[in-house]
Amino acid sequence: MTAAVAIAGFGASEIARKSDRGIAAFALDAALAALADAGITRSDVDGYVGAPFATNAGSPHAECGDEISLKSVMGMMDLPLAWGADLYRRYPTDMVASAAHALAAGTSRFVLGLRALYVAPGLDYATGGSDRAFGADQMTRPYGFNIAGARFAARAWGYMTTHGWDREDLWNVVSLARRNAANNPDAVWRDRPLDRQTYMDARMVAEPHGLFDCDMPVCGAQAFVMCRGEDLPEAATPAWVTGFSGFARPNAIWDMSGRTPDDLATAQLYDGFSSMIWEWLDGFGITEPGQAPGFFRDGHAEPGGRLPVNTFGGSLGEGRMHGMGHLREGYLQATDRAGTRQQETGPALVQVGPFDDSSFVLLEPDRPRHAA
Amino acid sequence: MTQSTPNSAPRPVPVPTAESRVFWDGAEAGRLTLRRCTGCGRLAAPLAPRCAGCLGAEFEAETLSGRAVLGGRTVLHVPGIPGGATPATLVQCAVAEDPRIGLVALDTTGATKRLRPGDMLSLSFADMGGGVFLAVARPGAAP
Repeated sequence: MTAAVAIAGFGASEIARKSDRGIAAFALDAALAALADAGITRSDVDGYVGAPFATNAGSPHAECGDEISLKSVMGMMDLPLAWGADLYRRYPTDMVASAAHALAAGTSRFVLGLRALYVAPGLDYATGGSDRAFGADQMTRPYGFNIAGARFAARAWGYMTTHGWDREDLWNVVSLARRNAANNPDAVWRDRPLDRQTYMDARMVAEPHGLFDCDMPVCGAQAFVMCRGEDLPEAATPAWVTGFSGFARPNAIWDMSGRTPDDLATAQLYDGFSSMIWEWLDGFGITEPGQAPGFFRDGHAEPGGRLPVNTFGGSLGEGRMHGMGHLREGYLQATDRAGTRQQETGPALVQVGPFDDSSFVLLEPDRPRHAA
Repeated sequence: MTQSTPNSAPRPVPVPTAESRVFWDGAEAGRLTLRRCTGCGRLAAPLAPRCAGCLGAEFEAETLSGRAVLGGRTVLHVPGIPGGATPATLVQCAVAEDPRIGLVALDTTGATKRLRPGDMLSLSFADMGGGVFLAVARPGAAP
């Protein structure tokens, strides 16, 4: 750490055994009290760190039910964020960003830290599969909209209908994943090629997604170590974290790294459902809005193509590692350690998370000259 | 209008808080009801603890037109609720009076199949049994 840091203010909500108010109301009370105590306003806040998960043992893990995350806090305060992602979240890209912040702070002037706990009415241990819908779930679960990627399927329908794509374009994504997985010794689908007819004949799950548009649940773990350059072990092969950002300000990754999308050698893009892979090709301007499926159709995402995508097979090929596989592949590609699937060794983009909750990391082989 | 829908499996019962009760009370009465900030006039999403614009905490309940703009649509082929009937059509839409506020709705007739994103919907609320009243979307302007 090169800067002295301090707690500038503290605030608290009422503490109650139970309440008719929701967890978000308590969270907002505390946040506003802290801002007032520190003598700043909400427009000064440019960072956020929370601990949104598992606030009690019987937690239904319901956003705005017994948990609170940046997604909700942004909405209820209209926060202008300089960086744009929660500093403590579940996605591997967020883990990198949080670690980077811990190793070398300075991305935010004022970080709002917030943890909220809540006793949901009538909630006992292990009632996660409740017949009641708490928090934000009350707006979706009674409809079944939280099941089988329904919300991603609905978004995919909107995208495909608006821009004129069809299931052939989803097949292009799944096909690339299976073919790339064949070069990944760890992939669950490595020895299981898939042909177009089998894909098209598979049962539908949530239109337009069929069975093979969904990633395969697996048992597995992946882990990483991060340190500052001066602490780098001699035997280590570093992939330098030159940029990171979150869904609220995605292009901050280019400002931080001094790169542009044209500099990318590879991209690992989250594909828990096949259609999700299109989101940030459009979002980063790599393709024109609505044209990402054409990038796959024209072969630009293939190994050796203009920008090879998910060279390890993605979640659709490797299995559901919730983005850790994407991060690992970004690391391997940036360090020239991807073996038979190695592409040009250069800036590797990693994106993890749904369209409205993504975060991003840029990994590079060379130590950034402008960094301390 | 509240409408009866043939009963399927029991749905998870929404647990309102002080913030969302206006919405669910409105749903039971068959009307799309949100809160409007008495300070700046902005509509509040069902779960919002305060006005996202001015942070005001005073609201008046307001019955809206029920008009909404179609955003997304999916046909679920697996039960969205335990034991639920399939296929089931779900839509995601934006409230016409303030498109920043999104809602999920059922399409019980499948009539949204011919629509495109941006097309108008009309929302009503249906009694799903067990004290659950859910938004139902149909093509076109509100009745």
